Amino acid sequence: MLEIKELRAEIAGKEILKGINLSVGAGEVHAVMGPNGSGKSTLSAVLAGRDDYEVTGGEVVYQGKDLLDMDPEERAWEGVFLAFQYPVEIPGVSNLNFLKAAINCKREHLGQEPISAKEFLGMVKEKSKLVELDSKLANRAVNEGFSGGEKKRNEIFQMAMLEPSLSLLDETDSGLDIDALRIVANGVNTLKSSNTATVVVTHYQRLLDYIVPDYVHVLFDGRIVKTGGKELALELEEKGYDWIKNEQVEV
Amino acid sequence: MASVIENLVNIADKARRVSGLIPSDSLERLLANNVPSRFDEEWKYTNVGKVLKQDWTGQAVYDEANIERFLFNDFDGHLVVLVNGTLDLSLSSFSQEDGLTIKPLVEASQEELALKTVEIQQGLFIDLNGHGCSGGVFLHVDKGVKVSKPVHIINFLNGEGSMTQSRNIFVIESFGQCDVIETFCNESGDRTFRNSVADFVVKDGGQLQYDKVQQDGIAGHHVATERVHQSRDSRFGINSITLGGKFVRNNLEIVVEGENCHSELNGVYLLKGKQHVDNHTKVDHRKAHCTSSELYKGIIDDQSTGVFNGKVLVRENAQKIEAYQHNSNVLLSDFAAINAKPELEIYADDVKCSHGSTTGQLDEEALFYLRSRGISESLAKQILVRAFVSEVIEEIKNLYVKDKVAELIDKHFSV
Ligand SMILES: Nc1ncnc2c1ncn2[C@@H]1O[C@H](COP(=O)(O)OP(=O)(O)OP(=O)(O)O)[C@@H](O)[C@H]1O
Ligand SMILES: [Mg+2]
Repeated sequence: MLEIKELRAEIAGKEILKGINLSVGAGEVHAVMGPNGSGKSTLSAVLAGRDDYEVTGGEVVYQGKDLLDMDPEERAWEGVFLAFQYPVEIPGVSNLNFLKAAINCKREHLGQEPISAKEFLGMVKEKSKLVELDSKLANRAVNEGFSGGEKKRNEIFQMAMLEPSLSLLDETDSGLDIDALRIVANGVNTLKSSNTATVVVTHYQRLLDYIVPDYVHVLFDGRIVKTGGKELALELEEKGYDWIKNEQVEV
Repeated sequence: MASVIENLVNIADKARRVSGLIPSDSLERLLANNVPSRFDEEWKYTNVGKVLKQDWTGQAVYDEANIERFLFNDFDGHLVVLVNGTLDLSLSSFSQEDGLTIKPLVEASQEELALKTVEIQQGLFIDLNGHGCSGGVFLHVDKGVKVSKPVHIINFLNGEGSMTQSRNIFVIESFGQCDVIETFCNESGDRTFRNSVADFVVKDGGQLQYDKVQQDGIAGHHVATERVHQSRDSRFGINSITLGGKFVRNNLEIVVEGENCHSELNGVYLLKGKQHVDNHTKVDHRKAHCTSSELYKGIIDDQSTGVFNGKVLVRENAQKIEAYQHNSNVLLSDFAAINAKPELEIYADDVKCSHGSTTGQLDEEALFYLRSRGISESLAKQILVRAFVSEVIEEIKNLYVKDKVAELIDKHFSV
């Protein structure tokens, strides 16, 4: 589904991604871990099309198409979804109007009729239940005044509404208490299918107890330096990143 | 060769229908005015001379007033239509509700004209308007009367190259209450110049809400002066929405001459193309225990330019004043510009006042967030722009106006 080859990207003249190789197949869950500042959010943002970053090399093929050639909205229409590490507050824009606009833009792109009010509200009801998002929040301005946990739940609510093929979850677990974590993970798992793929960026093994990864990658200084199965996450939790850094030095 | 002002006076002379607005010796005063230049502090960023020097000898056209598109949907209220300043009874429909008087300004008596005790702002445009006034509306609300329905004035101009001096007078007697909406519009495409003056007198305990929608076409030029006089316990509110016109200068001055008053000034301006819109406001707190609140927001696109100059004056004995003023602007293009200057002038020591002005671009983070969800770039911008001005739009309580403005804002972006 997603094929990343030798991807390089920089911001403000500073190279952050230094040749990323990653291949994600349909139905798979990949976890990306790594120390602060190693480039995890940069990778997610580049995949979602943020233009602050300049891609200086490599390629990304998504469902047979050149992903890097698309505008952010086109990527969304093609099924890419990024759950932001820091969701943006947008005062004056209602959460629901925003989602409706998003759904209708995608439908227009696909040559479909706009969603009916009834269908939309039915969907809102069903999906907000999935992540136990208070219906009051759905009606408020996008993320405005939401608590950290509410923002993260709202990201997964949006994901549920938009039904993406490839979901990139950037530290969606950070700041969640154990109950919220279970709810969010449960939401993600419910949305998973053999046609979708999920990339979760996390610092914590505890999320991976709920969203069980097929692969765990360690991103370090702009490169994926180690890949393993779910046991790798346990090992990292126990031993930290130093041993990997040391391995790097030896190489 | 006649001077610019002499030319204007000659044109105004021919159009005069209302006399008694100015003293008989005023011609001298009028001719003594200078054309404002950028060396005048008040006109620093607005080159009105360029407008005044154009040829304004075109004929006003009175028949075939095409006002359909400026009407409100299912409007339940008093409709007053002015064509080139003259009240057109065939297009208007207002009943003489008990305690409410609406009539053409030409029919107002000398005593009625004398009710407008607001001689606060002077200068070329007011003198010219007084000299060559072609008409307008006189609206009077009796003591203790709450007018049940809103009054919608459509101030329509027709005639390529024509100039109109219209004057409206609004008098709200003690504890009277009224909502007035005025739409400024013209035959689209016509090059027109209007020099409008509105005088508002709100007596003790009176309440007047004035919603102003400026939607002249792309060749409309407008210098508007609003002079407001508030007595104790009164409330005056204005929502000033500027969506059209090539050149617009709004002069709003509110004199608060009584205790326990509230004044509220809100404005939205959405500029594109080569529009130039200048909002000058002044709140003059002369008495204690009053509040005023001002919020103007602008979106400036293409090569358009905006000016905001808001002054709050708190006089020496006006203690316990709470005055808030804020202006913020979003520039959508590298060629758009705004000159914003909020001013506080405070001579009392026990007051709460704040003011500020911000200018920026649309929030890039928010733009990316919306786009990452599949919202096209143009729609995402439109959503953010609407959100930016929504704070002011929310202040519009009249639903006819609110709906109309929402519709016009959407249209503004669809072309
Ligand atoms: N606008 C910017 N200008 C300069 N450097 C930046 C900018 N944005 C990010 N960086 C740098 O890029 C590097 C990678 O940041 P990134 O956010 O991708 O890390 P991360 O792996 O997601 O970290 P964390 O675990 O803390 O979320 C960091 O060193 C960061 O300081
Ligand atoms: Mg990060």
